[in-house]
Amino acid sequence: MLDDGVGASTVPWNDVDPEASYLPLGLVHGGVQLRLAALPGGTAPQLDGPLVELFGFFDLRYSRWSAWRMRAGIALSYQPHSEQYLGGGELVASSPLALRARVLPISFDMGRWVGLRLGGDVGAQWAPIFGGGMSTSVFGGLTGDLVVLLLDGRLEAGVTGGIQWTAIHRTSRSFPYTYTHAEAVIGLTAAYLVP
Amino acid sequence: MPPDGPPALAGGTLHLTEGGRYAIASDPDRASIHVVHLTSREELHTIELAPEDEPGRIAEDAAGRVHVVLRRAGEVLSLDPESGDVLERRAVCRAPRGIDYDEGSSELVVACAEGSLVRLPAAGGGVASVLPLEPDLRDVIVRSDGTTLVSVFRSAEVLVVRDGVVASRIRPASMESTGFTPRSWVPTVAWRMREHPDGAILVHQHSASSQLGTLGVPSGVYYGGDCLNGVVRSVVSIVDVESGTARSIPLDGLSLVVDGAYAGGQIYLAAAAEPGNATAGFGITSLTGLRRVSETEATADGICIPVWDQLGEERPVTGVAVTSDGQVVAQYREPGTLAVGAYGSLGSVALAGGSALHFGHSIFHEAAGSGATCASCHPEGGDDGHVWRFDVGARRTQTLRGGILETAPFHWSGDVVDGTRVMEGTFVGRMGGARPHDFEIAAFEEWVDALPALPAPDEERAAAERGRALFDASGCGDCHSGRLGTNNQTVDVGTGGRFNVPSLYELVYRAPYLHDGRAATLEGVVGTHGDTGALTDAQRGDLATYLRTL
Repeated sequence: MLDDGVGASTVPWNDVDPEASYLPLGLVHGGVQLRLAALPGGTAPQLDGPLVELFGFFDLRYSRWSAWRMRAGIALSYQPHSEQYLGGGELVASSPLALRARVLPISFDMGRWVGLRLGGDVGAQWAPIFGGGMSTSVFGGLTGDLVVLLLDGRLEAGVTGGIQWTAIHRTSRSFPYTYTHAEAVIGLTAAYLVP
Repeated sequence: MPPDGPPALAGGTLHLTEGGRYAIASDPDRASIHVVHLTSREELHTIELAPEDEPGRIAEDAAGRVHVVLRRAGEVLSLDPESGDVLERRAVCRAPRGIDYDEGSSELVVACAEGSLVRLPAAGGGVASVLPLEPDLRDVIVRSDGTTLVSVFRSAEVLVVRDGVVASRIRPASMESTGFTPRSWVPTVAWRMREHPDGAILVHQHSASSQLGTLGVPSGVYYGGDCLNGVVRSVVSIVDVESGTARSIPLDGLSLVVDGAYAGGQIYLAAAAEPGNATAGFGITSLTGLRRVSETEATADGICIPVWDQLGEERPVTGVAVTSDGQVVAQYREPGTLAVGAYGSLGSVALAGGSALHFGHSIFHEAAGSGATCASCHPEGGDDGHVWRFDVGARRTQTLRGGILETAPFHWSGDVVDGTRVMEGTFVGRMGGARPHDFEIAAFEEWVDALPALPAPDEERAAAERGRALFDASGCGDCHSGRLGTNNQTVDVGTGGRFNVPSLYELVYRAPYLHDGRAATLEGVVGTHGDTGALTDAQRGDLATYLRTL
């Protein structure tokens, strides 16, 4: 046994090196994620999709020896929207554009190759008003990614899913208003983490 | 969609071929004709037309050729439904409307709005004969005994033509009703005349109230579709040609019934009003879409029957037909769809051509809060031929076609300066609609202003020239000046008050004349005002001839 009193705490006494096992190395990483998803199951005016989203985030590993991390950031998304005339001056249009803050607190790596990211988001979305202008509303959603970790954890690629509450603005002669309607999200994702 | 927007609603645009193999749908909103295979429920052919063609009624000859009236092009288009080939386009008259096939002579018979029945060989070739009748003809039915029945659009009369002459006229009776205000109802606007399988003739028409009461707040609300309290209601009249009588059944709560089909003891109704929103007032919205009533209900003359049986979505239906095995087929306007069976239960076919949504067109045909639509009194953008009894006196419905914005201010009193005021005063104030958005009003003005005037008939040229000279010499042009025959001023010409100078075009279709409809003919107008009192009868005739050419 070596015991010269120097550096003993840094010697890995077990056969798992937590710092080496979870990649990329380090506690904080930045990254960017692209999602491309379908929005199935909608009916007019929600014959929407596909969703295209760019998510700029940072990863915060809870500790050097932990597989868990938290991912948070800002997502900007676009989806072709739909409109429908209901008669009597009533028109509905879904929202094409959203900006949201997303937090994925349940984010961990299962071994070296698979990662799971779960969380939710809240943000603003804009829906067109017939005759001019956009309505702004707050909305939210739930998100989950199941990814394969590549390039020493710097590249993540896999499937994404979730639910989002899409805003629908109703242009009305009497009582215009905005409401939300749940849409399923299912698609593909790829993310790159800056080492 | 035509660049000026879809044309004003005419309806009656669906035909099922003999044997039930194809459905032929005229689609004026998308300037096309659709051929749909009913068994496979797919659109086989789309015949694209010029934007100004405006396809309308359809007939089929014994050889299976289909013939479609082109209302604005003034032609009949013949096609082979199996191949989708256009066989021929033939000029027929300036404003063709109804069409039928005479099996006895193998001819097509076309009713023309300018006032003639035109025959042409079904197999091809030019016009064979022209029978002058009277203006405003609509539908034509050639019966197996050779009798020809012709409907008149704004009076809802049925002309019985035998051996080239009008042997009789059958007019649905006026009716009386009680309610908030006792009303008399007179027949107007025969949207569609069709033959029942048992030989009866059904006319889908309006009835207009003769008593409107005050024009002012708060009671100036125009109800439509309401049997007892409306100002316009939908009626189906059942005409017995042999006895020369008709009994009329008001249909409660329907607006703009433009077509009907009959089978199995049922009457299927195509109501084409755009759904409107309820106002803060009575919250009445008229029913639209595909409806059904039992023939056993439609028995008592003048008794309203409610039309509750809904067979499809509440959106405009412009044509209805029934297959030989009793399945109803409905043509929806927007989105363009052919639905087979109730609620399309046996299949729906999306018709090619994209959306024909136009806010101006929609508002014009919208059942406003009270259920009345603009088209209820201004069918196809014209007038209903009716004289209304207001507290201020009798007032004749005016036409909106031919470039209406140029004739501002509006109404007989000239008190409405623009389209926004028309919306607020009439659509909101009288019809009970919710004030449209500004972009809707702009679209409405643009659409109405683009409605073309109906073509004038040919008149004897020499007489028209003499009449024109008299028009100028008598000073008529002092007020009736400009492209549309009005200087837009509000003047008193001794006819009972100050009135906005009416335009002078489409006159042959606008009887009766003057603000209160006192003149049944153009000859009767001459001498009522202006320097025309000393004209001889012959001169009056010449002047009237000239006016008919405008």
